[in-house]
Amino acid sequence: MMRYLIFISLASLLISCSGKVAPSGSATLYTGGNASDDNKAHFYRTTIDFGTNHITGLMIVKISPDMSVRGSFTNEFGVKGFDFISKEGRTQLIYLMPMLDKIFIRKVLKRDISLLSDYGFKEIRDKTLKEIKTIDITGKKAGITTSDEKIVLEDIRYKVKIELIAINKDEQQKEAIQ
Amino acid sequence: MKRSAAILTLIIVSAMTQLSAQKNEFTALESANAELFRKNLYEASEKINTLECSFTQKQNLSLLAEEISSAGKMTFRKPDQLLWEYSSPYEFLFLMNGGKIITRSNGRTTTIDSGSSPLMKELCKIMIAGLRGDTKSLETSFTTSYLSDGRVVRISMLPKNKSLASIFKKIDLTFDASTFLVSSIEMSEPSGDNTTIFINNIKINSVVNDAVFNIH
Repeated sequence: MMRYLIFISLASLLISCSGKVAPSGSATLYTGGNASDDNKAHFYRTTIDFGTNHITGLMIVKISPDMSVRGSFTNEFGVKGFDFISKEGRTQLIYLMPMLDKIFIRKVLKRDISLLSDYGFKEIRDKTLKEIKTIDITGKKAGITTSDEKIVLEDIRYKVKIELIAINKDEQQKEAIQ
Repeated sequence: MKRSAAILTLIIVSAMTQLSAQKNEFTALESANAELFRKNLYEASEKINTLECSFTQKQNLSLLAEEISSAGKMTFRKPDQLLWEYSSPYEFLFLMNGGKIITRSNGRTTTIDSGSSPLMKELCKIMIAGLRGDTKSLETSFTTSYLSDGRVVRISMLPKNKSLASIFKKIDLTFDASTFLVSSIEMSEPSGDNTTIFINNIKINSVVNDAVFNIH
């Protein structure tokens, strides 16, 4: 396990992330709808902590009308870590950097993305949500706290904490141009 | 000398790519012209002691049909100090200082030894060589080809080893044919996504104090 953590740490810190297309033989779980079907993209400044390791980057998420969640995680330099599609508690990793492509990492990643999708992204999609809401997913040994700007997943079973802070994309584009 | 070399390169590049320029397409430089450009670029890069610039980064996400834009500034000082600061839409700092790599995000600082990973060491070398236009250094890791559209020269680089190839399908460095300064870096990933960094407001050999790199 330590080996995997070191892999992730090194891979994500710099551009030393890489990508791998899921094997063509793997089952397609969800079609997720076309991009044109989607509502707006949600941008999150993301930090992932596991043990003593710390990863930062950006998570971009879209929720389709069929409620499937599609997303990408990249590091700050623009190199993609993974793509996913999640629906009804199941997640398919469409793309995963080879250095992360280990059985254990796939398992934990799919679990945590499923939790985020079902209890986080869809909650924050509701624009009327103004209060902090905490969900204790007892059966999964995890908890999620959401507010209108932030989602925090605490995966107690695997000692992973994922924090997502919303970025306003309009502001983002404006500032980048300036 | 630098000026005459630049003019000569411009004339040759323009002449050899006149047709492609009309069509706004890139075509390969003939080997003699590529060699001349390479030589001039290397000589110019050797004269760079410090380099400061701003940048805009655009990343296309194929799965989501979305683009991410970010911006910041970079400071380089010979031989191996590079500070890369993102200021929008988030703050992120990356510093290469000798053998150390320091990152800062959300107020949290992380330090690692670049020597602990051969791949990371290689990537640090590529980042500095790419910024400076040091093709000799880049050619140890990539198979390069030289293209031009009559206005700029593009070095298209294909990774030689498996580790790099799993990260980058291709990297294109675009240089102004008259100043020999890098104007953009485009990284294509095996996934089909690509990220382009546009370099602006370049300042060469201005005084860069030690304090710039004094980050802990």
